Amino acid sequence: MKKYLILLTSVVLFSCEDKIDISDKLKNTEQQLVIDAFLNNWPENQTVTLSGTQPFYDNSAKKLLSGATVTLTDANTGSVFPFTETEQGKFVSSDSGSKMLVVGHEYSLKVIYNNETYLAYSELKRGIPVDSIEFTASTDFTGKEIIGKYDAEFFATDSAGSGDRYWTRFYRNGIRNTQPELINYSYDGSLGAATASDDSTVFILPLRQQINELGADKQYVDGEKLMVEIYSIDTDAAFFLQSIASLSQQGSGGAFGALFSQPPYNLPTNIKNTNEKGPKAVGYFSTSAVSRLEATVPIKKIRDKKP
Amino acid sequence: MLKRILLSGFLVFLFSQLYAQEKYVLSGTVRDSANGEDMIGATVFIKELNAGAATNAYGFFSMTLPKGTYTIVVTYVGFDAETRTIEMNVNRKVDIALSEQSLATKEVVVTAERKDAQVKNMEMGTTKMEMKTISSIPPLLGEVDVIRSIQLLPGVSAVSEGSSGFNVRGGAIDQNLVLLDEAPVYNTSHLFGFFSVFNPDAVKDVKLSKAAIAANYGGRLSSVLDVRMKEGNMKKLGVQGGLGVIFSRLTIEAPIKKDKASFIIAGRRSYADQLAKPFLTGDLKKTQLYFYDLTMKANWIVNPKNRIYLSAYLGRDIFGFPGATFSWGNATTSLRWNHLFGSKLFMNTTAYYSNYNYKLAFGENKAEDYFEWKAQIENVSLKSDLTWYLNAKNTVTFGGQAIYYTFTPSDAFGVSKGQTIDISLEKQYAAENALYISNEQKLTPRINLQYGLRLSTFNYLGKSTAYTYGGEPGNYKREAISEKKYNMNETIKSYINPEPRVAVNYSLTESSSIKASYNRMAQYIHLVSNTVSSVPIDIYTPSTNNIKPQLSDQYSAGYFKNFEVLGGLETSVEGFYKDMYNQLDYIDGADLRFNKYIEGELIQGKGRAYGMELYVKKTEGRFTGWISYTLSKSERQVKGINRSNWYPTKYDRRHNLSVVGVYKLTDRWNLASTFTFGSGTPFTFQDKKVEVQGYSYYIISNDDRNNLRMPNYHRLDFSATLASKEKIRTSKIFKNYTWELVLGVYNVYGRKNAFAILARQNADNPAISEASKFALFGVPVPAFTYNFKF
Repeated sequence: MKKYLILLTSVVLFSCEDKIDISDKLKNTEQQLVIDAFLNNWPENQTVTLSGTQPFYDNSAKKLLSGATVTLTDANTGSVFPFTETEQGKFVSSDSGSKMLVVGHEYSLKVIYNNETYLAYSELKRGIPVDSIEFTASTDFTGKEIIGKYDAEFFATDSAGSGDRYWTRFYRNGIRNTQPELINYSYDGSLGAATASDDSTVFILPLRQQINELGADKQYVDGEKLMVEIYSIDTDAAFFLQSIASLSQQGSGGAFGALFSQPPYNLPTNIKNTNEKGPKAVGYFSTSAVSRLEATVPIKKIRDKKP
Repeated sequence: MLKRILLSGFLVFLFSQLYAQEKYVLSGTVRDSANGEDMIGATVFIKELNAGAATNAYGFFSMTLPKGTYTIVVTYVGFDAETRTIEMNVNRKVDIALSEQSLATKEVVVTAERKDAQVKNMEMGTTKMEMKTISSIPPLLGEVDVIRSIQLLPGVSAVSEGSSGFNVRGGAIDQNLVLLDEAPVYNTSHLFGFFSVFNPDAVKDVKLSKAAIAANYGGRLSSVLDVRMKEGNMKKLGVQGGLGVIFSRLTIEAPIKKDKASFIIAGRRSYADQLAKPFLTGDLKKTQLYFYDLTMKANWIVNPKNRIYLSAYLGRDIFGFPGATFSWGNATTSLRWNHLFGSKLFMNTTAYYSNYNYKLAFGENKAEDYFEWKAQIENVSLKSDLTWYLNAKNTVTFGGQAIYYTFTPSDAFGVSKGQTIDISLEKQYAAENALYISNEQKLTPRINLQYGLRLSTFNYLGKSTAYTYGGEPGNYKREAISEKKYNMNETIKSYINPEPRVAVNYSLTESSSIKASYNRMAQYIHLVSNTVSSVPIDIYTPSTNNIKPQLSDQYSAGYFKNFEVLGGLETSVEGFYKDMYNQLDYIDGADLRFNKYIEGELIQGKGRAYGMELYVKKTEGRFTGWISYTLSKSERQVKGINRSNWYPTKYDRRHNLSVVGVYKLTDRWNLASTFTFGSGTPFTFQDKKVEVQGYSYYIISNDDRNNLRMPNYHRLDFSATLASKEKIRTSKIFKNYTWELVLGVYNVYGRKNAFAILARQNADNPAISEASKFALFGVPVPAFTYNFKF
């Protein structure tokens, strides 16, 4: 809907958007612990990142935090997997994801930092494979084909039954896309809980195409590599990702988009300090079954037309 | 407590009956001699008794007088007074027609009421605005507007430019009962609040009540805006209209049968899309961007005791692009019957239908990829209001109303790759009923009392599914733990609320008085909105088994004084305190659309608002206008929000100042200017940055709600109006042709008044945080309109 509201902006000639400095109005608040723990069952060692919140106008690099104890426990088997700090703020498991994480098991993550103990829980949900990736020639707004440029589309099929949530991520030439407006979360192959279907359906169109970078001239070109991975997540994690996506679009439709913006709110977190009166952490802990598929953009042997 | 008040009221009432003597009833109507329009609030003054009465909304008056001969003087500002001598030895009915003062002698008037009206009227916290006043305010983009004008009154404000509706005394926008010829209007705005839905050419009279709300009104907490349409010229054909930069207007009124029946039909259409068409290419030529409205009314004087009115309104805003349309609008119809039983009992019975809906649709291929969403609130009602002009001291009003609501929160479906998914929600039904009785009593020559009781009930009805939610309310989603299906018209939940209303006016001198009032109000329908601004896609929801009705207690007192200096000044100071219960709020990140468990994401809490209002108005002379200043505070406390502490509402404005000045430069030139100032309204802003999985986002420390304030709002508008000479043509049709040219500038010094400040990531480097301020009018906006009348 937002995209259409952007169109409305073009018709209001008098509206405007200005950057303003409100640094004097923002109170200096204490740093909070950020726990970033999205673990998956790929045969690789898994990483939990700890950092600190930064003031709004602090544009310096992420503040990684050291000196924590991080462990993962499989509640079904009782197995405990330690994570050790390999570089500042990066806590890496000694076991691979495929060894630690089993579909259907419940996990708890424990982080002890500054004498405070933080706990979070996650259940590993069933995953689905990426069926295929296709490239079609891009067209300009008149419908004319743009030689040598491609739009990508992936296909995946939701499992039968309701309650399946997925997070699709994509890597272009090995670099993961982290544009918040492209966060690709899915409820049973659809966009939201309301439209979710119980049947096993192919992912709906906007989701399938949400692996293309935004902006003109960002299309895939011959020879590029595209990897798509699908994480199984639970409903709360889907809502967490959905919230990042929707809050990132605040005011993106110009003045009219801003009219329809939801007031900002705090993202949910599943991380709790065991001491209720102690400092609160933010971030998220989620376990996923993951599938991957990589494709190379087709190189057309013969050009249709000489430039 | 309540019982005692009622009992003592009844006793006072009884005693006043003991002094009965030989008395007769003088009743009748007051009309405009030129067009036969009823005159609302005209004064019928009895010289010998130094007492009088005012005409009601239908131009009717009735009073009981001891036997004798009296001189009655009927006045209405801007009209020549009419004097008659009447011998009261039988009950008499008189119909009086007043003639407008000729232009040469007429002064610019900003009031149509008698000079001491604001001091003598019962209605404290009530402002009547005649169209003449509204027309004299510098128009927005060359156009006169009702809602824009009332926002210049004390106690009234809007959150920002671009927000639909208005806020009264620290109340939300859905707490205003807006009536158009007795039918409620659910969304008062065109073009996101830039213009209101009322066509000024068809409006006769506007009355806003903020306190001492009479018992015949109910269903909203904060105010009643009663808009009355013109009846239509009973004497001859009248045409008026205007050509402006945004839209054009045309109104036609004429008698159907002279002095017996007449009609009025008024239309407006904006044409931004038509103007843009030559500059658009291809598919964009299909762009639709306009609003229209049509206001119609007919009335028939059946006989001196019966009169029938039929009113209708239809309006819509349409934004259409290739592949997307968005439209919204109201439709109302009301049929009214005035009947006079004898000469003392006046009845008006109204049957109305009102509807507000909107529709969004995306996608060009309905069979392949398409999305459509419609939502609607619809109601039908029957109500009867009776006024019994009992005797010289008591006027009793009583009546009742029944409303049946149908809510359609979502009638929607999506099509993806040819597969259709229905995401409609169940319709909801409800019945709201009320009975009331009220008495206005002249206790002593100095003390006027008004006391009444409204008893309202609300039944949330099937056919629907009622959900029960687990856990204590708080700032988190509550899960439905059980559900029960109800049959059509089966009561799911019912509420009943007695609403006592008391007001007193104590005259200190001829030109000063003290007024005080207490009101309890109940509100059963709620606007669910969770956007920065109020937008047309907000949905109304009934009170349910989970959502309780909103209630308020308002205490208000004021001092009113008129001065003879400077050709007459009206001044007032009013204070109010309001407690509000069951105010609706939302959990963080609430999902309000297509969500059948929406009630699990709504929470209710209490609110309070208090403030002081100052008003100085100069009504006569070359220079007229007013200053209104409001100092107020509006807060809420909702469990789980803002750590359960009080927080300011998004429409909380500490200071609010309006200065309106109108200067009659020459007989033909009129200059007007308006300055408004409002302290910044609160908003929520994130103050910390977080990075998770490569995504940056912002958080709000301590879960604060409305932690910052917008920059102050201020704006200066100016307009100049050139009027034609009287009767510029002498041809037969255009005998009385007059015109005026309105030139105006909105936002003279081009202030960029913010309606939102949002946290954004720099477009080129997401690691850099920015605060973006959004304004709708960043520059001075000139406009002109040519108005004509014949």
